[in-house]
Amino acid sequence: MFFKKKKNVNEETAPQHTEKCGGDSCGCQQADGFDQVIKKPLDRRSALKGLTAGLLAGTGFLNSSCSVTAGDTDKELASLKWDEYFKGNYQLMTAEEKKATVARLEKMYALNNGGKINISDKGAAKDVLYGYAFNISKCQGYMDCVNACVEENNQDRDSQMQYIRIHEFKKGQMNFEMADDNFYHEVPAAGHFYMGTQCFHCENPPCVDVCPVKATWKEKDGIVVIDYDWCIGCRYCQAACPYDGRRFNWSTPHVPENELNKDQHYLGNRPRKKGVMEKCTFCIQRSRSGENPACVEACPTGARIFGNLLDPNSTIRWVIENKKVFRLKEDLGTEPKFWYFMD
Amino acid sequence: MDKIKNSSSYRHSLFISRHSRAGGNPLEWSTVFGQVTAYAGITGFIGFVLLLTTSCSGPSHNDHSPLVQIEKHSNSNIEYSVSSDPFTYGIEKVAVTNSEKDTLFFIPNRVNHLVSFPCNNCHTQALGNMVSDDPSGKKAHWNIKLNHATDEALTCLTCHSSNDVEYLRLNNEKEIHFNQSQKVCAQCHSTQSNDWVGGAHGKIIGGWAPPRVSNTCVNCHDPHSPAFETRWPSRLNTVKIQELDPK
Ligand code: SF4
Ligand code: SF4
Repeated sequence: MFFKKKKNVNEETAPQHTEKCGGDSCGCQQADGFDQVIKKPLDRRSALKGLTAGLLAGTGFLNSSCSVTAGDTDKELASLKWDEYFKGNYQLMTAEEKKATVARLEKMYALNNGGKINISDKGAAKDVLYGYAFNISKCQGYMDCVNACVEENNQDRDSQMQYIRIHEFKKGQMNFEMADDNFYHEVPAAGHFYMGTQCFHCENPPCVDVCPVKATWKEKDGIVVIDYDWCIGCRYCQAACPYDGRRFNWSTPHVPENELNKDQHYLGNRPRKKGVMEKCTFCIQRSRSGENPACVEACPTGARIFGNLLDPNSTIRWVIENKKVFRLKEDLGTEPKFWYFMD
Repeated sequence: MDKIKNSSSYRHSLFISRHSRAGGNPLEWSTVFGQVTAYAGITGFIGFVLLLTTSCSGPSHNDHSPLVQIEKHSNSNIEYSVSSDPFTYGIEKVAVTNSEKDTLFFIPNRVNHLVSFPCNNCHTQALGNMVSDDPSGKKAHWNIKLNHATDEALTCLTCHSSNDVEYLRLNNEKEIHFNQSQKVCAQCHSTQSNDWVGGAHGKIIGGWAPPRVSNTCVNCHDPHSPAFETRWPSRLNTVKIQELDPK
């Protein structure tokens, strides 16, 4: 179903895209996704929301960009904001449009904060499908992974957002209703075992199916990502995920400047905003460069294993083929790419 | 992959085929195929009708399983554009080889990190000559307490060569370099060793991309006291922090 819908979107928008603004040469305001939004009936976001927000934003941008009192920086920021506001869905952007939006975001950060961030738009590599394995016998509940994830992915410090949950189970059962997620004692506690959950990057992700605006999708290398600038914050996906994999920004996320991880990816750890969804991306900014996700690197017990499922020589493949593995709620058909195993 | 397929039980395959969304599971067309033909037939028919009514070009449901992806798209000669090298930069690597001397993967050089290596900076005698039963005698390396198995199973000379302090020792009296210490461990811990070579035990450092660099046994376990200690978690869960420090 998803693929069919997605195809329709492509069919509708792709031709417009090529025949209209292909680049700066055609002289319109900004090639980047402008047509996708302006020339399209407002079927993706509700007409009312679009109109009000557009009017408000427009007045604001115009006010500062035409004002005689506003400084050059303000004017530049306003024009960048304007272009950002009307950019398209990342899935539909051409390579140049991706580069352009990344450049704008970097520039906006520099103007606002005076520092430099690197936002990558690196795509999926050929012959790569990421998978993850978690050794329940080894996890000791140290929470080093959670710390590393928060730092790597610039999660909001005020709301204590965490992508990973470590559950403590009393030995003899594995009932998530009975698990203690708030343990407050030395670990591992006698008679208990630990298990981590996060987004499992399902091959058949229900969260993607339900998104009304196609703001979340599965990349070719199997990572389920979110376009934070396209998400309308309806939280359908959060309700659809059977694994508690998604997190919502109830307030504007805040990361102290000196703690900000400046190596970012458009689909990964770049700063989010209020009212959008986020979640584990297998540290897309790291994994697409060949590096292990932050949680894998931080775990002192080696309970976390990450790699390429399509490579028969990878350790993740060895685990799947040689250990007794299971996945959570397999009967739902979500096909998570996250396996659990024991020694 | 054969293992995965063959591990399917009859009950399990039935369970899966009853759930139409799980049509992607390779169990369905695996060795137990015959036993679920009826179900598969029905699911297949429904799937066909759905396909006709909803889409002409939708992907087959089978594509939704990573196991099918593995089956279809596995490639043992992937040309990677990324490498783990930038992330293990500065780590001097030592090869781990199999019995045919093929390199399997790499581990960090050990002797570079041993503070008092080489031992003959201090010791001129073989370890065997220095051992004494006299409890009042001077104790070298007093900070090392052997907390590994029992006294009956292990003494210093079980792992350290009695002839040459620079070497470790195997049960067959073969001397082993400190950079190959995993061979000493593997003599007793063969299960862990197999899992480590495969990748289920231990920790890959740097990146997932080749070349693989893994921690060796002693990078995580102190050989004189190999068990992990209990400790406080490095942070608390969100809810707990709010409970403890309500604003
Ligand atoms: S675990 Fe949840 S959020 Fe992640 S892909 Fe699956 S359904 Fe989506
Ligand atoms: S909250 Fe989820 S479902 Fe809603 S628009 Fe954002 S990504 Fe899509």
